[in-house]
Amino acid sequence: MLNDIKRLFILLILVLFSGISQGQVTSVTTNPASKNIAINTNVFVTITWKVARSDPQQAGNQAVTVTSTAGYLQGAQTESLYLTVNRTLTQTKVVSGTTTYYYLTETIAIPSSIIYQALRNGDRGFLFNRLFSDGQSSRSRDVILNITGGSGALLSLTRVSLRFDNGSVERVVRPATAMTVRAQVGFTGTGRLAGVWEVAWPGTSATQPIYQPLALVRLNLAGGQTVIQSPRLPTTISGLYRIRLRLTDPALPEDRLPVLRYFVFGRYGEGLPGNIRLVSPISPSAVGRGTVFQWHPVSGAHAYRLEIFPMPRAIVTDSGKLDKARVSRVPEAGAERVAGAVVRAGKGTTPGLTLGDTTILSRLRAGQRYLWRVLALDGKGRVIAVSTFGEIRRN
Amino acid sequence: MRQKTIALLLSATLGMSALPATAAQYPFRLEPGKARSFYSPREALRVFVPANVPIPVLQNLKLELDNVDITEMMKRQGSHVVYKPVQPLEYGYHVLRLVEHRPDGSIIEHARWRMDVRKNSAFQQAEAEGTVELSVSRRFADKGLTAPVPSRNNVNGSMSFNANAKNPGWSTSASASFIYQSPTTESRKFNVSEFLFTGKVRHTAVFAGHHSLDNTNLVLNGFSSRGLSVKLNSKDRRFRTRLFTMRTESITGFQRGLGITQPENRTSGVTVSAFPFRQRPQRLYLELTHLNGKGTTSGTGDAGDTTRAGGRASSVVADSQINKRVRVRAEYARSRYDFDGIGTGYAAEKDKAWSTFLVYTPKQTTWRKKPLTWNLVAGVQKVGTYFRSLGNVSLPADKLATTLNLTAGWEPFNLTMRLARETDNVNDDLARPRVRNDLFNLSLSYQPQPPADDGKKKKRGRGGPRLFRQGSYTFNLSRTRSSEEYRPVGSTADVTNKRILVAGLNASFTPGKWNWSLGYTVTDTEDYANVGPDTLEHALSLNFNYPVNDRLSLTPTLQYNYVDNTSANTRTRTLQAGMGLSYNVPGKWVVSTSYTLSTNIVTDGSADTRNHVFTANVERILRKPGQNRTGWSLFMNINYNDNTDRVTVSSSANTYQAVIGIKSTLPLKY
Repeated sequence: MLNDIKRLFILLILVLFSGISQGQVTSVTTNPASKNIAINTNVFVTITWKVARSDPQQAGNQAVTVTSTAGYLQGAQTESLYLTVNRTLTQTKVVSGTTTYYYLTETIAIPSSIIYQALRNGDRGFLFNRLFSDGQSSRSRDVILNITGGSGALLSLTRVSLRFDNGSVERVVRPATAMTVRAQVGFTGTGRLAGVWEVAWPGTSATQPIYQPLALVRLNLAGGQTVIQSPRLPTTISGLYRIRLRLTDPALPEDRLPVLRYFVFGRYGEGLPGNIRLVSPISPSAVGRGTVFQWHPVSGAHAYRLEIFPMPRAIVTDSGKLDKARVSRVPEAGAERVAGAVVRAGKGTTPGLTLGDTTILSRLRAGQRYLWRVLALDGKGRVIAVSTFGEIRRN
Repeated sequence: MRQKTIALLLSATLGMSALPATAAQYPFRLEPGKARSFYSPREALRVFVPANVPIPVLQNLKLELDNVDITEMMKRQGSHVVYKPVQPLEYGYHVLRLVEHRPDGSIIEHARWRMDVRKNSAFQQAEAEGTVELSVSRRFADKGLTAPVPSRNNVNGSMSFNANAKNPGWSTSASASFIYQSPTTESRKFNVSEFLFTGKVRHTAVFAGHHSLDNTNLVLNGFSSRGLSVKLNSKDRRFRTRLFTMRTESITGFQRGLGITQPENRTSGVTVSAFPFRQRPQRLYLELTHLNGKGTTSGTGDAGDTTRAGGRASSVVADSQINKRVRVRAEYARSRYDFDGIGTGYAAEKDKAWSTFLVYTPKQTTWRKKPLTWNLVAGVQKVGTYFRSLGNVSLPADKLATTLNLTAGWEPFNLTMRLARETDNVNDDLARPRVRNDLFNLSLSYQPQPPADDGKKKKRGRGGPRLFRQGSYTFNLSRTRSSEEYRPVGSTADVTNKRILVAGLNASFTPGKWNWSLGYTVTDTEDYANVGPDTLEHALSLNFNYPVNDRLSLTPTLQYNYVDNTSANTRTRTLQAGMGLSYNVPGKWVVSTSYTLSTNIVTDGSADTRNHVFTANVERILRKPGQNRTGWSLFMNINYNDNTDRVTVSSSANTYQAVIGIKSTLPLKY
């Protein structure tokens, strides 16, 4: 209660002092001062307004607020009003010197329809205008937006699209699921993009989530579009999460930031399979009758199944190497197993088999490349561990 | 290695004949399953072995199930060998094969059986599974929440569901997931996330719900939405047709049903593809696409254009693998798009796009006893200023691009290199400048193979210092040069004349069960026209993933970014440091905590923020869920955020929310 009264008193003093201030807004500059925007696409333009306010009579600390209630997008040639941005920019600063600078940043969205209409109306660009006032004096400033091609000077965002790595916009998954988000970013111009991947964990209110940074994004872009992949998303705790890519330079308007939701179920069973470390043959290797396949034992395994797949063309890069990002999805991608063997899990030994003791070799074609992996099965037939893929070639 | 043959299993009980015999002489027999006409997934397979099989044959007999050698898992039961599947067999047809694997390497097949594994006599496969979870929680402490303060009590839940049924000749499946959240920012508390029904009858497939169209061309690329499509294949799959009608904007939720009832937000079309040649079909592939759509490019997960516009687009593709070395692809597309809304304003704009590329893959050669592979891709693509398709909204328009890509591999090195020249203003508008971008990218990676793990203790020092074991290294270099080819007299547009140079090195290591990575990138930007600033930027990242043991793992991270803006004489420092901790006692406790510190300071005073975020999540499992059995757990979530903004003081916030609750989880399976 006492604190509240104190705050109220201080606020009252500040308001009173700001009212009798003799200073005035002396200049407004912008960063950028002008910008090229593309002819045929929606564009997000980030502008930082730098407002200078001088107060030669300044004697003590005062809080002074600078405000702009709306911005206006007009045709550069026809002066037609195309768009009104009803967003208030305001900043309060304690004035401590003769000149105080206020930095107010906003991002405006200009739909492609407006750019197209302006061009057809005879406008070669826009003027975006704001008036800044400290209550006693005011200054306005235009930012020039020139309609050019898509390769214009400074980087501007045109579109941001978030999808989970399976293409979904919302997911419900089991715990410990390996999952990422891909942001497809459209832009014009070239330059630096800054942003941060952020996640809101379960437990924060749906209406007021607390976002935690996951990773910074710093990229230099050219070419019109790019894909940015998030780090692996947290899926250890069950509940509802939110994930977003908060782009800061250039930025998206806060109310246009795309956010995806995902729900992680509670744990049951023992979660996802563990890993099996392969021992031999090393990858890639040429194999023959005497080749011994070995791997590290897995606790609780009843049997192991060795599987061999043909090398799918889709996971081989143009240079003939494995695309490691896709190789783990070989069976899911429909690649059919060409050979394999089931072996019993022994105790105290390194599990494995000799190729010549099985029918596997008869199913492999000379000179062909294959992928192999091992699965550990428990007594109920559940997969409790899986190895990564190794590469082999039949002698 | 142990070597087991059926002979070892049977020699004790069966009378053996030493006489050679042909395969057909032995009446091996697979005994029928309990249902006589089919088998169930877990049912043991019993093979009768006649008494007259000679020992040399028995010694070399192997049993294969679906190409997998299962001899090792066989058991003897009298005159039968029995295999109890180590994993339930999938529904459908399986092949069991009995072969003689002779010492000279030859294979003689003695018997082959095709088995039908079914759910029951009506359905080969009929399965349904799902999970339902509901949590009730109460926020017992909070600070700094802004008005209106959200309700203290929360209910969250989710449900997922999958079902499928199939018989020879047809199959059907359905999947859906739902989320319940109260209170919520969404339009409804209980809503469907995504759903998909599929039905396949012989060569026809129907998809209803969220799905992707797998075409990749100038008018249809990565188009994924809610809708309806039908795929028709010829029997030999050389001719395919797909008819589709989808919602243009991405959505979730029950509202809008299949998403295709609103003509103003619908994209419909058809694709027809063919391999005209029966022999060597890859000699020519043809694809025709036509679509007509209306809508916006904004929606769930999308921040795009809010203009409700539309139009139509068509494309024709010819693709030929001329021989093993050369592939050629060409495409021509046209569009007619109304940029300022259909039926209002100006008329629709017509434009075209085309692309062509050639891939050359030379014969693999060997250099220093290692295979050397490389290929070259050269392409040209032109997209008109007003070319636009709602099936490929990410395609940059108004661009002519000429590219040359080289990829090469020589173990353990990989190289990719790209040269490109891009220009805009392709429709030669004399009132606009034409900007040219010259791009160069190079990526060189080095990933030496780790020495084979032979199980023996390593000698000290083998493979270098332990911290840097199993390393992989990538070096990236790129240069972008932007300049104007043409500038109209009196143009007020910003002059484009700049150069960006980027060099980076990334290294990752796996010394043991843990791994770590290090990255450093330097970027030099010089704007000769002084439209943008000249900057020199350094970015450093360090990440660890350290499983201390099976229960505890730590994930510290560090990212630091420093930008020296030499034009404005300012410096920007951004730091993000974090530590994650995860502790899991299976079936009892799940603990996850995470702390992040972020700072962003610009020396001219335009930004000065410091942000601490801490989260702690603890879950105590009271009863583990099982199949068709509800599990219960108690949980607590704490989220703390302290944001200090010294420039925009009103953005400073100190908030926390602490929640306690109970949740139930029910996995269901039929």
